[in-house]
Amino acid sequence: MFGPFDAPYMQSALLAGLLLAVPCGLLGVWVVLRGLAFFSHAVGVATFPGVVLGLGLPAIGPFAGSLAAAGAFGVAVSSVETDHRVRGGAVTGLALAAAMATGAVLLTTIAQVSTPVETVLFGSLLGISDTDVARCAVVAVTALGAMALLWTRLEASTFDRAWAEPAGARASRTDVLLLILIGFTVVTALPAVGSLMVSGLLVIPAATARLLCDRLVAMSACAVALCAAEVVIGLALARELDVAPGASIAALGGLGFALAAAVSAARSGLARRAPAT
Amino acid sequence: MAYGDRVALDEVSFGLHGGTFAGVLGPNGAGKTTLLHALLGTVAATGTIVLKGRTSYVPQLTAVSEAFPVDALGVVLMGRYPLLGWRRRPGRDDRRLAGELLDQVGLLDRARSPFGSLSGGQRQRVLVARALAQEGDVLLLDEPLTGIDAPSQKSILGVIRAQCAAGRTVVMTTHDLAQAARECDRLLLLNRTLIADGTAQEVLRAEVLGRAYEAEVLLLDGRAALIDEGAHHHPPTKPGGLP
Amino acid sequence: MLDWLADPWTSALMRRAFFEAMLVSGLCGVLGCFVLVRGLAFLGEAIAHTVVLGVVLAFLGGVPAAAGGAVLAVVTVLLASAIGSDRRFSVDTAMGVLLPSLFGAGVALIALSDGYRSTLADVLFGAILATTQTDLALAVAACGLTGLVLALAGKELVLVAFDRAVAQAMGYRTGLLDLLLLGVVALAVVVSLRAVGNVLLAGLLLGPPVTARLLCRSFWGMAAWSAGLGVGASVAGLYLSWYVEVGGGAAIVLVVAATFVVVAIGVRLTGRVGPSERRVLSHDAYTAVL
Repeated sequence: MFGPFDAPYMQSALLAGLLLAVPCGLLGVWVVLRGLAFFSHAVGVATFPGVVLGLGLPAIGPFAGSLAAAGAFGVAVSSVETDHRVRGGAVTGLALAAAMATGAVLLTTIAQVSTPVETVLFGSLLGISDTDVARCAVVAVTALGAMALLWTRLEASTFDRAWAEPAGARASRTDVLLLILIGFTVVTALPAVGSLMVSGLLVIPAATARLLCDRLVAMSACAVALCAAEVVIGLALARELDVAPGASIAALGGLGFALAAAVSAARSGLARRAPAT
Repeated sequence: MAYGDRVALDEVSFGLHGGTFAGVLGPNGAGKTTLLHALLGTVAATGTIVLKGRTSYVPQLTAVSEAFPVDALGVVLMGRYPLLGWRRRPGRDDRRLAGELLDQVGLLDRARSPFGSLSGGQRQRVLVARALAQEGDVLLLDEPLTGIDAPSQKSILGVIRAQCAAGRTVVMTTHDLAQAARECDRLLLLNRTLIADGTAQEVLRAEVLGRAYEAEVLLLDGRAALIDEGAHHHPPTKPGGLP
Repeated sequence: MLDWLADPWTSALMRRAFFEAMLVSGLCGVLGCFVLVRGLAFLGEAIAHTVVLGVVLAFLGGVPAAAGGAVLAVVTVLLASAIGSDRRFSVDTAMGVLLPSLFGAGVALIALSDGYRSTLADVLFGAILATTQTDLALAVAACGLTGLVLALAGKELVLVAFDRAVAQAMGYRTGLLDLLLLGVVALAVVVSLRAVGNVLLAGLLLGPPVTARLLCRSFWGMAAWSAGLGVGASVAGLYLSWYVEVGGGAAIVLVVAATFVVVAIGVRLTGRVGPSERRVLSHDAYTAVL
């Protein structure tokens, strides 16, 4: 009756994906509104050497490895990018390429890695353990709690930083918390969608929601719902077509964005044609 | 007050009574915005600043994200956030107040319009309403009248008058000497230090202005006109730089 | 010592690899300077990924891979510019949508078409030892074309990068110049894929320019340094890959990154940067990061 989700591993993947939709949708909204898409993509890519190291050395494990790599990336980039001459993401780009190169070298030097590189980069349906599902649940609950606490500060400081800072939003502290939350979400989503595709889960549903909604609460709800829908359909497609879930979910998200853009354009076209009141 | 080793403002000393509408004047880089930041407590000042009560603030319009998914009412409600603390959400009373404030700036009918769809003047009025929602005792406005339409200027000046009548202190930076002379009770003329402080008659005199603006002031029929106006308006540009 | 230096050059494969690497890293080094000053790092990264879809489609359609890649690069730029011109989205978000969706489609297509599957690793990390005469010819052509564009419109491109509004006021057609720049950048990305692969390309495109930016103040000085650093890193990287037996693309990018780290630390220690310069704009940079 479950169709593509009859196998137990598919049910794990589905559960993990649905849990991930909560933090990815909620945080994705801020990623889109604050222009953090490159950062999210880069954190995902930067985890690659950590995952490889974690797979090669079971004492570390891919989760701890990727978490350490993401943290190292955040510290490295934020310490260099304070120099105005190299801002605009160039250091981020260099750092993510360097991380990829390190991962590639580790792959050829640590012989024990039996996991194919495609699995690390684009995710796998088979790799979702119960521990991964539990981590997804923890991150989902954490994201919900953090949003409840940080919502007003995030809203005020994203909308108008010059006002929010004197009004007591503690903007820079909020920024750092948000980045850490995004980092944790990215790392948790890795087994399902892979290092290269994780930004698809964060950015695409939220951007699609922005096309459809003009209010923050509606946009957030819409982003979570879209993220969940894309995960369910994307996982089913991945199973049926035998492709990596990260790739199918991201491609599906792109399709959803294109549809929403068409709907939005048609809507504003209608509004323009309607007589002005 | 200083940024790094460059002193932005030096030896500024003044007092304002409740109900005063003070205009802060001075050329570019004179330290007008820095003075507001010192009053807000966001830049460190050596010396003492005694400020009775809380501040409300209207920053320059350029920093606002027009892409943010929020309507006019939502922006005004943000003014309540500092009073609500971490966990509480705006309630019915907050909404009623926000509606009244939008009415005061003449935008009640646009309460549900996306902020980005409003004109520049309307946006500025909404931001003034947000500051009023903070219910501070001192209202600080950074060039609220620069580059916006005349009806919006009139509306904002009317709101400021009402605030002063209610006993609140208002400090506004501006480039428009003639408008400041017309509207403000008190003028503070800055150029790295306090050049002059008093009423329009006391401050807007050729030799005083000459000290602040150096060669930038032209006297026409005994009234001062600024030459460097227009250098202050930078159109907001989107980062990223694609065609 | 001489043997040590000459040894890699005895292999015909390595000779071609050396020429290919030097050509594309010099090209990326110069064009990367434009990418850096225009703040288009994410665009470079996005194009490097989305061209994969074009390469796969070209393979399935039986047309040259470079043509498919070039088409997708142009499509990416046009779509990014269309989404980014929507008031609601930044260019960052536009790229954040396009990169995973088009790249994901490409990866899915690779998985669906059995004949292509084995080469996914080559697409990702490059296969510089597999450089063919055609690849070399393409790289030479791309360098020539870019040289021509820079000779004709170089100073105009710099002007637009520095101050769009002024360039517009002077009567330059900035949209056309943007398209010209993005066209040559897309070309550089497509021809560089063979050498470093798409996940490493950002290193070649951005690494030498950011390093050069720390060393000089003028734009063309920076471009010259950047090209030199890129060529130097590619030669050093290939020696590394010959003697340590790691992938050529990965080795080149690691040399580039190491050079940046050394230069950044050196510049900070020797204080070549005026402290005032750093501080005044650092707040700006901070908000750019966050």
